[in-house]
Amino acid sequence: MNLTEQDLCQHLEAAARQATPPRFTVGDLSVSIRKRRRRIITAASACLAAVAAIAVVLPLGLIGGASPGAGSGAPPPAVKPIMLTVSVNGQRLSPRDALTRGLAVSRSEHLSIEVIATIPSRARIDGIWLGISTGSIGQSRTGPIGLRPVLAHLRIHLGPGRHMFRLAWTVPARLGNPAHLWLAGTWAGMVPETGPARSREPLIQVAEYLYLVRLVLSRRAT
Amino acid sequence: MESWRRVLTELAGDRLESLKRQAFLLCGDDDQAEDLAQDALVRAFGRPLRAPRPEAAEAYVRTIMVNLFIDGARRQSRWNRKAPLLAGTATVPDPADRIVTRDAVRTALGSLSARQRACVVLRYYQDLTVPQIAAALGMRDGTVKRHLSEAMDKLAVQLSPVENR
Repeated sequence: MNLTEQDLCQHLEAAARQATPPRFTVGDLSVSIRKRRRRIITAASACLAAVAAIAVVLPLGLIGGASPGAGSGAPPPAVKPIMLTVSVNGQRLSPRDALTRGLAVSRSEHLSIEVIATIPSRARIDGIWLGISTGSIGQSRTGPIGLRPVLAHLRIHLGPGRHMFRLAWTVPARLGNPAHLWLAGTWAGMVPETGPARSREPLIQVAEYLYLVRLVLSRRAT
Repeated sequence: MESWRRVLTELAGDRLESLKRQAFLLCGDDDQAEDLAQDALVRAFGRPLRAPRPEAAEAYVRTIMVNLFIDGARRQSRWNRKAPLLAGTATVPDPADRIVTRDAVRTALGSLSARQRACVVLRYYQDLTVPQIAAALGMRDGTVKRHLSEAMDKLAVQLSPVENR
């Protein structure tokens, strides 16, 4: 075989010279590149929007979601049986704003929290927990999961009417870097099957967990 | 001017022809080379968060080009395997083409597999080292050496008689 590497280099060089000069220009390329970048950005934005939507919708979906008590097998009540209204540092928050816009807090800030539980007639609460969550709470037979610290824990029977709980919490100075926390709660009790409106319906056992206020943490410690 | 556009303009200033030549050696066809070079440039600069750095832009585009060529060849070979089943006829190259094609090197390169061809072009045209080729193509050094060795054997057979003419 006579072909040396040097020969091959020369052959390739000669063959490459047969290529005609490029017919495309930087202008042509720029148009295509812009289109491609726009397409990628659009796709990425859509993904981000979807993730953000899930992040917002999921907690909102969990708010109204009552899980039936153990062994009851009954569907959740159609009407929300217990209503929890929250004020933080004297500021009353509408349920919608409390969850979507949230409340800006800073590290080391002292919060005075007032929670009013309104229990309709014929319903009763057997246990209620209020506390702070990082965004993942649930209910077990022994109490809440993912609620730390627990600011209030009541294991007495509460009948119909308004019940006020005053809580105090200082946002820890060292918190890592979460964007927000949740003031959340969970309760277990007995409510009419289809809500308080139909008073003759049988009572069912219900346990529910609720996100009450989104506490948006500011970046700087105060 | 956007930063990517500045890098592209600098690159296009004197390296566009060289890129096209590399594409031509890979494809063996001027029109395909044109498409391949454009496609590689668009892909290299079309990533919003990963625009190539000015000093590495050319190497980046060349690597993308070679990988695009290998991917395209793989797709083509898949299609070629299935085409007879779909159409009922096999594609046979016209022997007259060999006579008409005066460029023995292009014909010889055409007899190589896409990976062998890419290795040859990167080694003997771009003057990259075996580890650099291995990194660009995502292969091991030994694989690159094997491709180069096999390619050299084939090319020697095809190109030697041409030289003796």
